[in-house]
Amino acid sequence: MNFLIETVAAVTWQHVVMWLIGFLLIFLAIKKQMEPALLLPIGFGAILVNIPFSNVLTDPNAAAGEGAGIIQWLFEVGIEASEALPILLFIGIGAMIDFEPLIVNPKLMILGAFAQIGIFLTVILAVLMGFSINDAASIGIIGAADGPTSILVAMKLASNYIGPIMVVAYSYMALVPIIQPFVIKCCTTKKERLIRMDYNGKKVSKSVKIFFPIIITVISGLIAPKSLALVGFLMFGNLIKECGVLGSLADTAKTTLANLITLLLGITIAFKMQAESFLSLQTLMIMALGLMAFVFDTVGGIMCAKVMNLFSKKKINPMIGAAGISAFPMSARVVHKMGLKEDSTNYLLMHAVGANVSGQIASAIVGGLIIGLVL
Amino acid sequence: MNALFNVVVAAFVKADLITALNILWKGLLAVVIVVGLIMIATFVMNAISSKIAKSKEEKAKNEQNSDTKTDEN
Repeated sequence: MNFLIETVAAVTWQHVVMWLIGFLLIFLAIKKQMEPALLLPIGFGAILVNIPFSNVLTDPNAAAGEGAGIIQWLFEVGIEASEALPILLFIGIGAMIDFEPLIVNPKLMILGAFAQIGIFLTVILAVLMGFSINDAASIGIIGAADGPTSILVAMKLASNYIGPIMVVAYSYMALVPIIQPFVIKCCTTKKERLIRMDYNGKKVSKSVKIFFPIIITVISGLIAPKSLALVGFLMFGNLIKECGVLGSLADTAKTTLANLITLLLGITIAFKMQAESFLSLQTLMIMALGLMAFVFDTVGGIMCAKVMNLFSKKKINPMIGAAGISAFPMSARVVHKMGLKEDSTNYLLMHAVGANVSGQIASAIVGGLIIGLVL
Repeated sequence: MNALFNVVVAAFVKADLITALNILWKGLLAVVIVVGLIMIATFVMNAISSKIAKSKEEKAKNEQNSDTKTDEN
């Protein structure tokens, strides 16, 4: 009868805590609809990997090449070997993005750039809190507000905290509608939030839309070659959408491919949520630092917009700066809603989307830069 | 021994802090340069594209005018 209770006997309080965390993530995904595509698989995976003797993990006593656990195998092949899963997901994301609002108003790119300042400030904070530079840089990249970028950088820098970093990155992305409005209200006055921005709706030619991703890839690659995996695949996805001759591939990229990888990525990430590595004081510190990264990003974007207004006749609503964070498209929607709340005739959506997609590009570039500067 | 350990730890922390500050200025500078170049490229593309669109419009107008004149004759 021993075989029936040996697993139960091996359960520790740490396992139980991880089950509760898994249940919490599943609850947030279903009941609160917070990034359900990711939090649900992560939550369920957290339960799977924290049951003792689970065969989703490779048996450490098995001979080499035998007894490979499926979740561990997915992690080793899909993430550890070449970061394939997060990079391939960028093809789907690129196929979903429309760069037209950014092409019409390229000045918004500056907002996207300065909305990444939170990443660098968080690296400094993390170092001051005692993390090594590799771990600090991996924690700072949570501020990229982009799951694939966070995973890629944390893996490349061989961070010891990949599990908490990934969970925190995705959780805070889902919390953008809660975090950002508070920060925006603290950093802007009512008068500033009422600044009107009219969208000129200029049509962008097909040629420009085709050249845009190619040029971004070349420029980013020449200055930050380590960002090419992310930026390149993001722009590849956009190019297959804009070229007009690969309709079915573009549709596949933004639906089937994106969904398939999202499905596998969530449960694969759970490999790093084993109790021994996840439950630590450092996880709590990473949660605090991740929040700081998002806050500093939002403040950085808003302040950049305010500085631009000092030199510009056509004023920018500073809330647009907050949309420079890479949480696409949530951040743009948050800013648009806040704009409508202040003035129901002030439609900021297209400007916010422009800043948001520029943040997507800038965060991928910063991810590559961080890898290049640390390694 | 304790004091020596503290000095060594402080040295490591200081080294990492200097690295983090270097990452800050180099990273910001690089991202501003990349973004600046992309902005310039976008402005240039938009300018070329609107010039081409204008000349196509003028060409179409001229062709329309010459067709009208031919019809009148």
